[in-house]
Amino acid sequence: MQSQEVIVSIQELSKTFGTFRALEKINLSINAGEIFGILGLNAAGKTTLLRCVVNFLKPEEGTIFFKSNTLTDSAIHNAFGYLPEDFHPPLNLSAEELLTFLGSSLDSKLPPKTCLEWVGLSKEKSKKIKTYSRGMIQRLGLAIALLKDPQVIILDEPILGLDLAGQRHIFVLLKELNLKGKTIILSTHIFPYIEKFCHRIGVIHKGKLRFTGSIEDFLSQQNTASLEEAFLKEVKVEV
Amino acid sequence: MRKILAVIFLNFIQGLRERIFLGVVFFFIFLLGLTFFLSILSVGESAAVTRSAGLSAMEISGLFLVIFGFTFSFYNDKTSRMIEVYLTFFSRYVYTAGKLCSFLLIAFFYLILAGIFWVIILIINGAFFWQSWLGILSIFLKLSIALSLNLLFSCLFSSPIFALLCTLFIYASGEIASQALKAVIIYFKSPISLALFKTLKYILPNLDKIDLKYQLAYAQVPNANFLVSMFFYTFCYCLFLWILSTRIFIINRS
Repeated sequence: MQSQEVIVSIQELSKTFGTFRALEKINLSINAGEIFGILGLNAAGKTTLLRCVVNFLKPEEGTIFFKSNTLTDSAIHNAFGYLPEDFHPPLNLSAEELLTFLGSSLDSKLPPKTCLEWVGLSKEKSKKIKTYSRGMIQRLGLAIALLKDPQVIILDEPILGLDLAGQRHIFVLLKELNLKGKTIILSTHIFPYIEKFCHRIGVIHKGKLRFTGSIEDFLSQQNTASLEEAFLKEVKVEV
Repeated sequence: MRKILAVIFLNFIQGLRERIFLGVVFFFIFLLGLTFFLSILSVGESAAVTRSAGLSAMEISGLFLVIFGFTFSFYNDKTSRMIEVYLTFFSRYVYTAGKLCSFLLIAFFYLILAGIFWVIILIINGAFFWQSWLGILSIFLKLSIALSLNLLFSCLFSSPIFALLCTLFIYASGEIASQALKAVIIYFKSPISLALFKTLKYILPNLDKIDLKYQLAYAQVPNANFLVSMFFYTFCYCLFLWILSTRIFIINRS
């Protein structure tokens, strides 16, 4: 489902927290219909980058474009689905209530029932969220991200805290969504899934984008067969 | 409007299901019980005490409910990262307006509920008169200002304790500052000090102006013009604080 049309383009993006330079002149283009993986160590700038893309943080410099227009709040409200890292929804609501309330604010949306079916939560939809496991909460977060039937889905550590079955379920679901034409941008530390599912990757280290391209190009650049090893070489971590 | 309603209902349902709501209802019932016994002890002033103490009980419990409830909810949205999700659905103006309105609705719902208990006590003590409900209305207006102040401090500070304490202090000073500042101004001859105290007097909420407890305790009903000006003052004050809070909320994004 990949196309050459650029759907999200980031130009010269910089972000500083006090004296800490979290992002430095990031230039990145995401093509429509691709699964783009962002790799980086902890505090490399992955979350900051994603938060800037959804306009939660204001960068000091740089511009983000959505389909060649400057990214606006309205575009985010209509075309972007987002699952933040370590997300905790309101515990006293049920999944169905949360999705129904959020959905009532949208012009066009998928029925909450459909979203919950996709993520495998239809049986638990009436239960209070406080009874959910970590895996179910992550799946609920994904259901919220899918609610507006977005063109771009941004996921920050979507499989954080999930067991192997949960991880597998999420990635299979993401692949299905991608086949339906959704562009997916995700950050994760689980390399086997990146190798298997991502079309292209971006390696971010100390706020700088060190590599963008296909996994094959990255492996040949680092002259190794393992993505994990190539990544560690790129960020100069000795094992 | 649809987006604001979505935020309102989301927070309203959540707020009613929080333990703090139930806790405050029980606290109010306890205070009302005290009011009842106090009225028995106040021979000759039984009706006035039932009205006044009942309204005070409603105000104190309502204040705890909205301030603790709002602060907890606002900061919980931040720590749970839910705010990041909300802001991909709504603008920051919609979020703050919806949050404020949802807690106004919770305060209104609570005051209606508490008002029913209070009216029962008033009827038992023979202290009920139809205009008693104006007391509930005046408490609602005061809680609206408290909530707007809480929104402002929640947007301003990263610490919930700070936001909570500042709201309580400003609320308390709003109750007494007007009279205190009037007295202080008389003793200051310097134009700078005078201007400072006068500014402070206008900036702080004049909660004593919208308090009807004393009048209603003695079954005195304020005139319609006074009631309209109470409404207008509260509306303008809350609107100003909401705009200011949202601007701060937007600036804090960076």
